[in-house]
Amino acid sequence: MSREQASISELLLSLDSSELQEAERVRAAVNQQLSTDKGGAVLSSVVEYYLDSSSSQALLLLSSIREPHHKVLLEKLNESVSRSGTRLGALTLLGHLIRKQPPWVHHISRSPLLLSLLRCLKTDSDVVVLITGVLVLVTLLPMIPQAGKQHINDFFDVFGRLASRSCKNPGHEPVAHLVHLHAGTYSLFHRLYGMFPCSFISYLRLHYSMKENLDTFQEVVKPMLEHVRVHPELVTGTQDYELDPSRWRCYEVHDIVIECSRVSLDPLESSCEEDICSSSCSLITPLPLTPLPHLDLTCSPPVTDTVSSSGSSVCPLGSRCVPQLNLNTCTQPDDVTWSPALHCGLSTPPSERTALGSTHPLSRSTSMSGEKLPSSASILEAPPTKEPDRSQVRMVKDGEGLTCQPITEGEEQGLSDLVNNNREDVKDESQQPSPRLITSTPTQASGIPLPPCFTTPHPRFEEPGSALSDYSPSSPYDPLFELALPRAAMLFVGKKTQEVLEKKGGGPQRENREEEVTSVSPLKVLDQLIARGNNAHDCLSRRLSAGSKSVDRSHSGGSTQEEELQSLTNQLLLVHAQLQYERFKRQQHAIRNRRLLRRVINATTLEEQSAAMKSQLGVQDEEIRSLRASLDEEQRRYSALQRDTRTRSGQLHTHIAHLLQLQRDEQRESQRLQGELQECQSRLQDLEAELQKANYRAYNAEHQLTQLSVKLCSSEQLHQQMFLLNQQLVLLGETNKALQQQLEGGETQRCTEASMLQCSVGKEFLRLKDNDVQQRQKLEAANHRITELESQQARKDQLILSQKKLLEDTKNQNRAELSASESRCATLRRVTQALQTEMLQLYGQIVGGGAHPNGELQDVSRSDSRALPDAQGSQKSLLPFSSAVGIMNGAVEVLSTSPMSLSLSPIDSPLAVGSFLEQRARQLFRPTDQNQEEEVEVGEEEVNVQPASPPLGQEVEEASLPVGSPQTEPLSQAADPIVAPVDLTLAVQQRRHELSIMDYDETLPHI
Amino acid sequence: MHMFNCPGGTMADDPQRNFRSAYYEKVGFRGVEEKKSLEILLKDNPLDLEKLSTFSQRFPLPSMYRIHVWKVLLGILPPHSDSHALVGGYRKEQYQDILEALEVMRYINSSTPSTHVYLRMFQLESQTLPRCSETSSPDEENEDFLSISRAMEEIVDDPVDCYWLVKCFVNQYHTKFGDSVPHLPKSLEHYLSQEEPRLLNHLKNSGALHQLPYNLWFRCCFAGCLPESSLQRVWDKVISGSCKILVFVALEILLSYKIILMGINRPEGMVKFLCNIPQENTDAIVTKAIDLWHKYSGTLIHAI
Repeated sequence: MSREQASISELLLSLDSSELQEAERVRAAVNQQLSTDKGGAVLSSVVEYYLDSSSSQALLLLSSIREPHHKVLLEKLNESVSRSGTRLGALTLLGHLIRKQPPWVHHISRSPLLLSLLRCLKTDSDVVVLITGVLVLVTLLPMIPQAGKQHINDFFDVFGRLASRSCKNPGHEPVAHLVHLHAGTYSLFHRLYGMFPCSFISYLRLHYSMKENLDTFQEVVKPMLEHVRVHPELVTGTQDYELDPSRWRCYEVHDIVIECSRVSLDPLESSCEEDICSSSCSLITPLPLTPLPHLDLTCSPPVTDTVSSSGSSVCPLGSRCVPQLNLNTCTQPDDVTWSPALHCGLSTPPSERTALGSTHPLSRSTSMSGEKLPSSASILEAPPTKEPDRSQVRMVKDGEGLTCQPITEGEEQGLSDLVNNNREDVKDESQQPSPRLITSTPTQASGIPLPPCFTTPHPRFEEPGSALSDYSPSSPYDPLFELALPRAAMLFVGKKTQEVLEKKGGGPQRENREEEVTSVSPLKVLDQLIARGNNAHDCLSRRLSAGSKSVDRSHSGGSTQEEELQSLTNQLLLVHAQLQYERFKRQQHAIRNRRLLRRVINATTLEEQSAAMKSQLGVQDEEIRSLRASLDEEQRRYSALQRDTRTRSGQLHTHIAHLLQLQRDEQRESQRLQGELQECQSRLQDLEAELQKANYRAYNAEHQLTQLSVKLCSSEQLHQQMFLLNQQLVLLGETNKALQQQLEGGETQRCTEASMLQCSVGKEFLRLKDNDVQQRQKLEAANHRITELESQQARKDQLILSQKKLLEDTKNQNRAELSASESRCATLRRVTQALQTEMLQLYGQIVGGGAHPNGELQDVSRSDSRALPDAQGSQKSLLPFSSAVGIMNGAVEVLSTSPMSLSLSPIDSPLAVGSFLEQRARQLFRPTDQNQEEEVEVGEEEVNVQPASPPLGQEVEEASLPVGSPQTEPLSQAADPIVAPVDLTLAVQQRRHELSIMDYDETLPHI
Repeated sequence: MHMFNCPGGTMADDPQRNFRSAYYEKVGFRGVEEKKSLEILLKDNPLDLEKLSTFSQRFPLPSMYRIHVWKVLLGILPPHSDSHALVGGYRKEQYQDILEALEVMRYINSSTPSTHVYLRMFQLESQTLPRCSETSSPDEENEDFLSISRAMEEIVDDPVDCYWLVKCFVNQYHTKFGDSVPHLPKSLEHYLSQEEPRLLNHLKNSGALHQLPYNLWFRCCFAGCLPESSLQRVWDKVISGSCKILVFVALEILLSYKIILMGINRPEGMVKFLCNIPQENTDAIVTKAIDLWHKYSGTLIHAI
């Protein structure tokens, strides 16, 4: 660590070596060490090295410090500032660093460095430290505007302390220092007023309302207030608002600087930007011009110029320079002091700056020379008055060149050339008077301890005279100005007329103006001081370089010289600080100018665009106009067409009306004709009806005629008949007569006979009537009988039907039962068969197993098995007869031995059933049969059958018992293989019997 | 139609009954009205076989009358109820005769299972009884008989009735449907193509269509395939004269296990599954099958 430290210090020692390469190498090495530095040891050693040697190389190294190392640097600086020994060096270093605007500069607002800086400003009594500190603060303020929130009161306190200090000078500092201090305070005033106007004003009000501060206010603060205009924030803003950090968010450092200089009325402090904002027309020419006056003031060559000009107060040759400076200052105010009042042509607000500008060179020279050289002022008066024409002509010429510029932008270069020319002229001319000036300086140098009197009464009459005389004779060119440039000319003329008016106004007005003018800008005072310092230095150095030991030096001794040297180095430091500050301001302005130039370019392009748009607009207007014309044409045509259509439609309407009328007439006509037609038709119908009627009548008549003819014929026949009948009548009448005669003879006899006959007829009739009644009764009875019989017959039929149905039912039932038993029978047969087969098989096994099989037996078994189906087939037809035999003989035993056949017998044989039913039916129907013959037959049959019938019924009953009774077991047991053949032989025998019995039965009737 | 055309009580309250039965069916009491009408039918003397079979086709038989109706329909009992006792006696005697004969012939003994007894009896009756020495293992037809008799044995308690029912059922099935049974697989294919062509295609593609257990379905009438509770409802229809129901039951089995069947690709697996279908929801299958049968033979429904 210590070795490293040592190496660092060695490196630093060789940093400022005269060999460039060596220095370069060392710087690179230190830089590398700085970048790798962790604890900040290297950094602090570099800082210390700078504080010791104030080496520019170390400054360069420190200003390139990057973000993470800034903390160490700030701490180190803070430390150094707190120590009184290194305070000045630290402050100078801080000033250098912040002018570079490193990216970490905003951290200062939170670092203790700011606090210690403020503390030092509030407590330190060394003027050099104070001035350096205040300039650092002024430079720092725009970079950390948000710090105002916490430290605003500290700032104000600093301001108050410095103001009172510059006024009262408690430490009895040299005047030159006071001037510097005053300028520093002035800058702080501007910064504070520009940034925090409300708070600042309220602070001023509060602070300087106190009695003890009143004279400070009068002497220091009031003149400063004269150099500022009313801040707009005083109207719109509040204290809180202006302290709000967010207010500064969109501001950059140079924005704040310009903002502050904008409210300044001091041409040295303020900027010319107001033109840019307000009058866009003439904004381009002042731009390149604005830096020029500043350069003139800050850079050394112009300072010498001014000095020379001041010197020219003695020399008549220098009078040429005065108008020259005037020109410069004149052009500036021309742009700077533009106000709405001027623009409107009003003369009420006094164009102070014009006056200031025009008087400055003079006031400067006078203030410098002071009362000591009142004569010089009187001398000064003469040359301008002597050469007004010349200077004026020059000025007008220059003015023409200048005022033409706003219109012809392209001539900018020309203008700058012109200005340069002017300046070169100045230089050329100033070179001549300079040696004379130097000769005069010793007297001035001796006047260094002069109290800086800013408000000292000046020789008044000369300056305005000189200033005014510059303008008075320019009236012949007025029209030319007006023709060339309306606005500039108007301004210019307005200014001149005002001055002329002032001139005519006389003394008191001029007095006032002088009063205003007296408050000189502290900066200007500083400038002069520097200029004088320079002169003094030159003089001194010359005296020293001359090498001859002057009487003064021996008299005063080394001590005075040492003191002087000390004060001079101090002043040099101060001047250096001041210079740095001004340089910083210039940089800010340059940044701003670049930005504004860009804005101008944008504006021009926009203008061009707008021009192009305008031309397009014109074209489109033209188009619209043509379109409108065509529209008019179209409308006209349309209206003509419409009119035409209207007339045409009117014609057509009338035509239609006419046609309608015609159609109506035609319709009426047709209706009339139709009515006639209908009338005719009805008449025709009437006529037709009449015709028909007539026809009918004719036919009727014809028919009548024929009838009549027929009648006529018949009547003729009748006539003939009548004739014949008449003849017959006559004949009959004769015969009647003859017969009546005969009758009268035998009438009585015939009467009795007739009555008797009549009586007999009556009796006969009665008898027949009775007979008839009798017959009818008989008929009725017969009919009744018939119906009775019929109903009886129907009943019988029904009965028969029901009987039939019953019969059918029973039949079905029986058939079903029969089929069941049949199936059982079949099954039994199958069982038997199976058993037989089994048996035979067994038998075969026995025989085959005992000895040689008996062929006969096999044959028997075979024949049996063959005969068995036959027997079964015949059984159906034969067994009934066997039962009949059984019945006939009453041999129940036999039947019991063959129960199988018995059980089948009554039902199985249809024949037997048929006969049985037949017999039953006959028995049943016997009483109803009334036929004698049938009775006879039945009787015969009864004789034949009756002996058999009663046992038969008994047998049936008896036989049915074993069927229903559970004799099936013995039956099945009986169906042993041994018994079966016996049964078969029995069956054969029975069959034979039956056959004979049947024969007997058949033959019986014959017997 | 025929059932309600006849004179008697059935005709008079026909509409009311229809209304009421519809109502009962809606509420969920199926078979209430059927039972009543069946009782009315059974009260007739002689029994009308045609009406009984129509009823059995249309409605499920109440289980308490099932055996009686089956016996009547199969001709085991005559239509005349007067002769029931007599004929029943005959039947019993016949059964015992055969049984004894077989015992004597040593075809059977007390330890012979009843189904084999029935088979021997049936063989004896149909004269196909083999020689005792030649008794071989039962052939296919005998197997059908055995499975039917096994099922019947579960349904009927009395062995006499059981034998008679088996015998008459087998006889009737062979005489009545012997000709149409070979056509049933074709019919099944037809209905399957209408109901679920995808399944049919699957069966065809996998080659299982011709290997389906037709024997089990159409020869054994699902005996051994369905549990008896479901089987007797199928047999109701078969006994009352329809073998088409077998097709629909088979169809419904296929439809019910469609997803499973679609999942099986090997015909053997399908046959194996179909021969051993799960016994859980066979009732539902049968119900659906009957509904389907009614749907396809819609004439039956509308005629009545």
